[in-house]
Amino acid sequence: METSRYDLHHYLVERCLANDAKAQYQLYKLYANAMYNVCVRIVKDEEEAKDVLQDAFVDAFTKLSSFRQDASFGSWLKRVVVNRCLNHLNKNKMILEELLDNHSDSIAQEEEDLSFVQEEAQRIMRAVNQLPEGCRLVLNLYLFEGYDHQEIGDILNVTESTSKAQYSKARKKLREILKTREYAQHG
Amino acid sequence: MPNTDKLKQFVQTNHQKFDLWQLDNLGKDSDKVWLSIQERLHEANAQNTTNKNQNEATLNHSAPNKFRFSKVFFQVAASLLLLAVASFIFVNINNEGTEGDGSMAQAYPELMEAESYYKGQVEARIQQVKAIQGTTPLPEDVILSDVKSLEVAYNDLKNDLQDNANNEQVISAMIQNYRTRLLILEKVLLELQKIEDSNNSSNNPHTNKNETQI
Repeated sequence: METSRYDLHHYLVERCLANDAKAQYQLYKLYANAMYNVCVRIVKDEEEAKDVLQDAFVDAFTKLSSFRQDASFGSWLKRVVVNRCLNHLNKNKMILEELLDNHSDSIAQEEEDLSFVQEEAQRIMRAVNQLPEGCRLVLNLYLFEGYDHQEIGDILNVTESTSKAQYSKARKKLREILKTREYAQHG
Repeated sequence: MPNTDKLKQFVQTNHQKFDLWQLDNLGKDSDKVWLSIQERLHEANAQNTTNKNQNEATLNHSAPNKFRFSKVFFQVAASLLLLAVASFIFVNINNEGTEGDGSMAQAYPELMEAESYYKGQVEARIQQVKAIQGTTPLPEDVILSDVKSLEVAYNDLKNDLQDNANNEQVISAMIQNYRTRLLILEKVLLELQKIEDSNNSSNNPHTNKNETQI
């Protein structure tokens, strides 16, 4: 299964390098939704995430020649997407806090019929979005995108121990936010 | 830490539940994103080709075209920015007369430039469709019927514009009309190419069928 996925991606990448629009579309369809979720989790706003997604795929297709086939295409693409998200955050530092409230409200309305785990996931994501920016990013990359602390250090240009410390801080704050919300709901 | 990190364990176990968002949730956003990506890639290719073939130094300063979901009106502005790069590339395609458009060109010069650009894009893709269409049993007028309907709707919008309707909305609808036509044509081309590929592979028993399938 893994091998056939690898072969398919290898084949599609080869076709993309030859400027085959159909292969580009197939790769896009394979990864668009997963990468869109990476974008929303990091930039927090769904509309902005679509813009970042667009930028990231343009980046990916224009610098595809730098992708080495020994790595998985998915993890290479995710790195391109994460970098685009970080650039976007740097550009929009001031706007981000304003967007937070609207975003949380829109999710709150859609919750009713979802399963417990789904609700729990949404509850966690809302709390994550309230974390201070630095530790939120580390937690996002570690928890949801599967990077280890050394990789996060490379991505954010900090040391491995800083990443660990920020993650620890994020977890502590997250716990506090979730507890406060519980009291607010039941108290 | 991993063994005691219940949060990490929970996320790992339920990773898919954290993919809370659907790109297509609100309609055809996935296709819109794709169309934008493709336009920008076409533009980058066209720019590369042009830079190789001609000494057009001014082109290097043109802004890239993007459809910004977070900035609704950017759609029109980006279309206009495109023109600096693209209009002359397709100038040989746009040799149809514009009689009757004299006053429109004066009143809405930027819109007319956008129209000229999009007309070229649409025409180029229609020619591509016609070139491939011969290999399929589908008649051309069926394949292009939606595009033709949109062309009629576009002309109605153009009349509305001359009647001084809400101009901003009409212009936005006109640009969207062209974008939709391009989107349809891209999809038609993809489907036709699939049919052509499957025809080719069935005609050639040595071709590995699995190679092109997802």
